[in-house]
Amino acid sequence: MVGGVSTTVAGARYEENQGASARDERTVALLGKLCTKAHATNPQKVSGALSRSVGIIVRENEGENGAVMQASSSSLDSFGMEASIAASVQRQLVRTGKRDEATGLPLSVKFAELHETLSRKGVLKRYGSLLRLLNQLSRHWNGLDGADPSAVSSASASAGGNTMVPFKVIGGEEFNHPGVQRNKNGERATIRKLKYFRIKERDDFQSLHERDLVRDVLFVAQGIDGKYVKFMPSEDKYGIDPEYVVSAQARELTTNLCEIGWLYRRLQYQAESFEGEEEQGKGSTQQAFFSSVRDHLAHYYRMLALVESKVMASTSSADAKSLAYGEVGAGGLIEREMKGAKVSLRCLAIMLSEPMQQLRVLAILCDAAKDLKGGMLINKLFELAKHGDPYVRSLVDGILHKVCKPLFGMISRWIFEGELHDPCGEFFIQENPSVSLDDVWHDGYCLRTEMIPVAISDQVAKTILRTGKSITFLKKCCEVKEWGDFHSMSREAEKSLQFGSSNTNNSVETFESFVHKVAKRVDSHLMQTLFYNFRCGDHLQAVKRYLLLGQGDFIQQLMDLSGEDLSEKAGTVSAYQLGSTLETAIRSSVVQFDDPEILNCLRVEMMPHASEEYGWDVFSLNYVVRSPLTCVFTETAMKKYLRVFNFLWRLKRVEHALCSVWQSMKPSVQLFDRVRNEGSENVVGIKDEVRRCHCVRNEMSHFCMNLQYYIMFEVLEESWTEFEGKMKNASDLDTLIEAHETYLNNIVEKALLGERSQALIRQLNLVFDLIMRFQGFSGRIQEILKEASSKRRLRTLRAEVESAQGNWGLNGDDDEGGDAEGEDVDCFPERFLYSTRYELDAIKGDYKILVDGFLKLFPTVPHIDLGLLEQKIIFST
Amino acid sequence: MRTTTTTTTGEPKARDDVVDVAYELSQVLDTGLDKETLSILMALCENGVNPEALALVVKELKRESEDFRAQEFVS
Repeated sequence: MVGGVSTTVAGARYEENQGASARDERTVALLGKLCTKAHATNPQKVSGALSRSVGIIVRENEGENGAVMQASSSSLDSFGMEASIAASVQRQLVRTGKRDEATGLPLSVKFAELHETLSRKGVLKRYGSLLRLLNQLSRHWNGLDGADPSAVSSASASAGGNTMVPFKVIGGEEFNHPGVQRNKNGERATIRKLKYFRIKERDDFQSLHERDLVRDVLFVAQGIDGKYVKFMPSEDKYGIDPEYVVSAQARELTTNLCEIGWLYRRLQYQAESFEGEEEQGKGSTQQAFFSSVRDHLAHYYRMLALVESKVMASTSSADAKSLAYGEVGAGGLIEREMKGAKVSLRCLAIMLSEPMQQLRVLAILCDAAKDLKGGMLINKLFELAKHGDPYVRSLVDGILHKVCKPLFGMISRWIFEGELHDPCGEFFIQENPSVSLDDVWHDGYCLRTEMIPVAISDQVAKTILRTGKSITFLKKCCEVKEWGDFHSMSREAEKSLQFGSSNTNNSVETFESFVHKVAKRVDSHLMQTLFYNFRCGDHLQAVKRYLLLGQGDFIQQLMDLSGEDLSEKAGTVSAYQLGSTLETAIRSSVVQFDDPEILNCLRVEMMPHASEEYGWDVFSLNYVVRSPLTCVFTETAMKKYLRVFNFLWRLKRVEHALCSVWQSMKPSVQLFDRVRNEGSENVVGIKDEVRRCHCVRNEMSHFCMNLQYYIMFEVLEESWTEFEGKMKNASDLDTLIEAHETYLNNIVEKALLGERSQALIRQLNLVFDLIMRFQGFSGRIQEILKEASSKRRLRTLRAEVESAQGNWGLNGDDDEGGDAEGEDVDCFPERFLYSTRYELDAIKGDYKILVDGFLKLFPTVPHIDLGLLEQKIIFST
Repeated sequence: MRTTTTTTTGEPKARDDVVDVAYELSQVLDTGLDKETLSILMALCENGVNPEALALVVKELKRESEDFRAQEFVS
């Protein structure tokens, strides 16, 4: 019988290569034999048993329909299966603790030996199947003989209990009602059904062999579904088709390896979706990022190809080996593994570990970078590049390097050409297109702070901004075509414009020094252009001389000449008229030798006015500069200049008024001398008042002088000296503008025009008003005195004429005396004397109160040094 | 019975060994199969039949024959 069996086995081998139906026939024949054997005593039952058996087997196979059939679970001796069944059996044997009766060895040991022998023989192609069968039939753990088959099968179906834990048997549902199924399927076309578990010839006969899994994993790694390992959209992962039965170990390994496929799929999807969106403008940094991702993917392909070729080589060599296996067989397990060079899943896992890590990092980067661009993207990459793993670091660094390239391209174009090409808004410098030419410097460009890469400090970013802006400014406003030769520099730029996280410090330093170098050149060129071609310094000086009243004689002239016009109501004053007055003032002062270019900038301006204001209040000088200089003489700066000018003009006017009082008072002394002889009381009284008037004027003049002194010397000149020093040292336009602003703010603040000194300036205005009132008052006195004196002279002349005619007499003398007295009374009526005295008292009192008030306000402005001014004013009063 | 002349692998002796070893294994596992049945089962396995199904069949047959024997005994 033994020989028969062997031929059966051999026959089975042979049958493999025959048609499927032949195998089905053979299966039925073998089953028939089995039934005959079982029912040896009862032959009439054989046929029934056979059909039932076929039914069972067919049903088992029906669970896996269609194409799945090819690699049905019946062919379970795939990779790892033998070993894991053996291990499971072994464990259970150990648990039973039974010993061999003959040798006394534990059954588990004996099993191990036998297992080893059988597996080494390798004759059985489906040794795993056999093991499973035996395992199922073992009475050690499958209950006693004749256990209920359905119970057993359902136990195995649920993969629970102490049976084969690692396996999942398919079609378990149907197992639950085997009786019904059996009856239903019993006698029906068994042969036809059997073809469902027909197994494909050749390789696939041993389906879900490790080799298949390896191949599938390689497919999956390229984002292609394998035969058995497929993408499952519902779970968003790759996995072995659940309809196949694979050892848990293999399943886990495969699933782990499939991560690479998932990652690849994801990356591919992102790269593709990026390409799809390219038209919408994702920006050059994004493009660089994805192109470097694609580069890495290409590298990944290369690695994959390498792995694949290794796998291919090993499979073919393994095939060759399997032929010669019989001879090698004695070598033992270890040798087999060594020599087999078969790429196992584990092997594959090792080979794929590096690509996998690469993909993993790339996926993280892609996720992080998805919606970012420009500096933000770079910052994110910087963040990710700070990784402990040198591999990750170098990978991210590489990408970072590439992503930075377009940015550096933008930077170098900006600092060399002043060109801003940034259609997608990635650069950290932003252009404001709607800005006028005058505001290019101030508002034309600004920093996008969120886009500045961390490696570029704010300071450097500002320098970069300024450099490009300077060039744009030179081009647009100064109409300069050349701003230095940067050819050598741009070559240098190639080298220095790069940074990564690993050598950040060093490269950032070179980058910074490079930027500063370029900036320095451009800045100095700009400053040179401004100061030599556009005479910025001269203009600043001129503004100081004209608007800040530095040029005394010119101002005096202007005031003298325009005084009459300005005394009119504001509405009637013509700016045109004043313009010609200005011309005259220029011609009649030293200023005429100034550069006409500068003089042309001077304009008369009438400020918006109310109807009751006088020309004095609305008149102002303005200094109008053209385009490139408007960045220094900004609108706000000019406004400040005008404010200061108006204040100074008012001060000057007050001083002027006091001077005119002095001028008119001088002749009045002679008048008094003439009337003194007449010696009336009233006249003496008037004379006292006039003297007091002088005193008051003196006080006022002193106040004005000292105030002027303070403004001119302590404020204007001091600020100017400071500013002049800064201006000479200013290396770039920003510094110059800043210095100019400080200078102006200084003046405004110190000249009491600032926010905090408003109370003071109000008080001061009251003082000025009072002085103007005084001027009017003294003017009236002079007028009356003049009138009186002229009347007096008229009388004298008439007397002389009459005496010359010879008709002078006592009467006449009396008359004359009486008349003179009467007229004196008319000229200086008593009420006039009193009103004069009264008004003068009022003015004097008010003045004192106001000046005291003014002085008292000094402590409210501790930030301004008014000590000297206070001293001087107090000294006089 | 088919002959082994057309087979490509091994000689009959090796197969006999295999069946012997397998039989020993089945004894260790206490399956209660005799050598002949085992060899048929092995052939079935090699033929690609699902081992679980086969196990079911074997158990079924065993049960049937036992039932029959019991009936005989009763009668």
